[in-house]
Amino acid sequence: MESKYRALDSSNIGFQLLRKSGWKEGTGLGASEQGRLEPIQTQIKKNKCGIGAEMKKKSSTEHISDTQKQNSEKKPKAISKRLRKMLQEDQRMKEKEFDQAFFRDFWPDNV
Amino acid sequence: MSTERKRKVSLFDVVDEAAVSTKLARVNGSFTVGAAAPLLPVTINRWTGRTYSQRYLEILDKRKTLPVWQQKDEFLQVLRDNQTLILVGETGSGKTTQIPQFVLEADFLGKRPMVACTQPRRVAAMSVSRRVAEEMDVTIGEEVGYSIRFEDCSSAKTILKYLTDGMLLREAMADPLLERYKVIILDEAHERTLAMDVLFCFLKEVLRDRPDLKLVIMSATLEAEKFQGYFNGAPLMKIPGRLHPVEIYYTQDPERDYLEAAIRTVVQIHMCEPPGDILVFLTGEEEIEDACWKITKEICNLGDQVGPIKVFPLYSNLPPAMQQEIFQPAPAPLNEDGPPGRKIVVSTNIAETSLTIDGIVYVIDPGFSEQYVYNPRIRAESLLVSPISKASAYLRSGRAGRTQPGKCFRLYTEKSFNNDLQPQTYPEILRLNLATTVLTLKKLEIDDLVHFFLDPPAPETLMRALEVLHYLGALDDDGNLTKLGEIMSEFPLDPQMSKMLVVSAKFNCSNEILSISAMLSAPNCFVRPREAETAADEAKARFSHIDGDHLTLLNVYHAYKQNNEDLSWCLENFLDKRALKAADNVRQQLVRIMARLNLKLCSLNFSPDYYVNIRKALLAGYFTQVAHLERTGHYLTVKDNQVVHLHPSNCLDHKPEWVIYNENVFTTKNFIRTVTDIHGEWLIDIAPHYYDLSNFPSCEAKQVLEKLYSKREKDKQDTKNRK
Repeated sequence: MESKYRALDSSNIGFQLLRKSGWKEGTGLGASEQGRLEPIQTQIKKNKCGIGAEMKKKSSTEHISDTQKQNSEKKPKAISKRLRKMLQEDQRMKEKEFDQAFFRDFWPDNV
Repeated sequence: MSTERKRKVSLFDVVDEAAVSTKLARVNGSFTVGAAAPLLPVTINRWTGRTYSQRYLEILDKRKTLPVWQQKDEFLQVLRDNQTLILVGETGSGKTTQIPQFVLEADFLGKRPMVACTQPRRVAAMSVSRRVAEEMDVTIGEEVGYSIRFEDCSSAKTILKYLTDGMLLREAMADPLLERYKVIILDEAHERTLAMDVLFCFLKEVLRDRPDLKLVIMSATLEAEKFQGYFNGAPLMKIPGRLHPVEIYYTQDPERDYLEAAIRTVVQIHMCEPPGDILVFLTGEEEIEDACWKITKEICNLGDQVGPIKVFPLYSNLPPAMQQEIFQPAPAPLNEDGPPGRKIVVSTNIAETSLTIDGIVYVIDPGFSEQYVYNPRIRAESLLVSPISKASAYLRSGRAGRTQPGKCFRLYTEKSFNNDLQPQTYPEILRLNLATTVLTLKKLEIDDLVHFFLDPPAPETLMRALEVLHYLGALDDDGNLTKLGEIMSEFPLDPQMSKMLVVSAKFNCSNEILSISAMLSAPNCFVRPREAETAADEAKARFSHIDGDHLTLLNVYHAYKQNNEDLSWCLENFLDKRALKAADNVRQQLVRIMARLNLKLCSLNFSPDYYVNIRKALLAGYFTQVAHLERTGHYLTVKDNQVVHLHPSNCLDHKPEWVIYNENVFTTKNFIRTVTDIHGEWLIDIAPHYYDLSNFPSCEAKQVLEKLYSKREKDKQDTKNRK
């Protein structure tokens, strides 16, 4: 899946430094250039769907910049009242969960 | 007291002798056979010279029943014949506690060989070393010790040291050939922490230069072959675990709601299955607390027809005393012939490997876990709930077979297991910010980052690390470590924070920056119990500084010291005493590093400039983490132009035009957390190289900066004209 975010290009000093140390644009890192080309996708799960159930419904969306999200949220008018209510509840729980997450131990564990 | 001192002196002598014999061994190019091990029965402890206690002998009998003891001789043989060896053992084989002790008994390593055993977790390093000290009948911190970030419990006598993998890496920075060690054991290698991945590659080099060094890699099954390939076909040894067969059940159809399904399964097991405790894997603290409450409620509703239950949550942020509670036995039946009681533990993936609970017979695995993933394109971390890997699923199911044959209920279909789960969990190196790692590698003189890694990260992740280090002045234009970079690498902190500490004296506030850095490095100190949220918020408000959270943390630290670290004061003010104590400890360590590096400790007298200087010093480290308030009322991060929101925990009384932030974490929204108000003029004063408009995407912030620059130009002209 293509990422919604722009990749870093040669205007970035990190790009230039990596190239200076022997990396070739368009290749992966590693002894035989076997490394992944794209960063790991960050998809936010917004529901409690089990594995498999989610894959069919495609209900997890890649988190996209807020402006894009506003546009896409206008589309699905067709969802039933009940489902909407459920989604709202999910959202509320998620927010609460998030609050908790921030009060959680942020101490890097392994250093 | 005097005898104590005497004993220490004599032991130092022994250490020296060992060092000499080590050197001799190296000169001869072969291993000397150490002092002949005393013949059985052993009554004198070889390490301390004291007679073994009764307790030692009791424990020894138990130790001998561990599966790993059956292969003790074989292990020592393979260790003698090879430089590197890979040990595959299930949890419960006893490898973490026993293997290092076997190594110490090896007669081909010299008299007092020093052994390091790394652990991915601080807690494990501490608890395992305590246990092993007891098994060896020595005092913790003497012959057996541990070393974790900000805490060193070892001495010159230490021959076996448990340490976090990050700490071994830090030792390597001062001792690039790790010459003090004869044997290095990397435990739990399958966990693939960031530090461990660096160690693999680093040790591979060291082994080449030090033929007398031995490396033992201990891992759960699945990753072992990868290591074998990487270490040129090192021999692989298998140690059976103590696992009983576990029956695996899948669901017929995918679950619409895995949380609800997990709770339903718990209730079903409790009603229909024979005695045995239940372990449920869920994702995070909130979900776990929620599930515990629902399970208790549902089973209460069933009344007397089912046995009594005890439900325990388990997650890393739980206070240690509460973590201990999970080891309580299951409740007894209500009456003699009544249905059996059951213990139910609801846990994050910490129960997957690091914490072992005996008595678990049923495991419920919904197939999700929570982890951080760094996105280099927007420089933000996301806390993601994502499907686990097949490797994790195996480990989870294994937890059911510790004491007797068990059952594992996977809340997904067999098809999903085969098709939807990836084989391995992503190692940390692929999903975390690598700025600190790259600084460490540069310090270790590993310059070939391109070909270095076992599992190479995406190029962009490395670019971001190089970028920030270059802007901080730690790397020059050719990517070489600068003098400043070398000083920064001495701190076990993020490069931004190290930079801030190094330059803080210039702003006359290094004491204050030390306190803030310590508070940011320790766990969050604000307690917010569910039943007293308002009171907790009010208590926090008393420490608030309207210009920002960094300054609020400083206020808390000052108040804590003014109140003589009083525990009841902490309680009254909804502050976590452990967190504050940790912060205080971190601060002391950092002061020591500052002193070693000849960095001045200073403070400004209290004046209007007091806080201004602190905020400027913060910016000197964190100028790459700034957000600008747009006319629309949203914040955009500079250069990346991502919409971010101030985290609701902030204590600002206004929306400043510019803020610096400590963290950018994406969950439901993209939040920036721990924010402080700064001025636009400071940006172009303190970090003109970063706020260079010739390399700046067009946005509102750029227009504002343009105006600031031209105003600066005009002011300059004016003063010139006046002269």
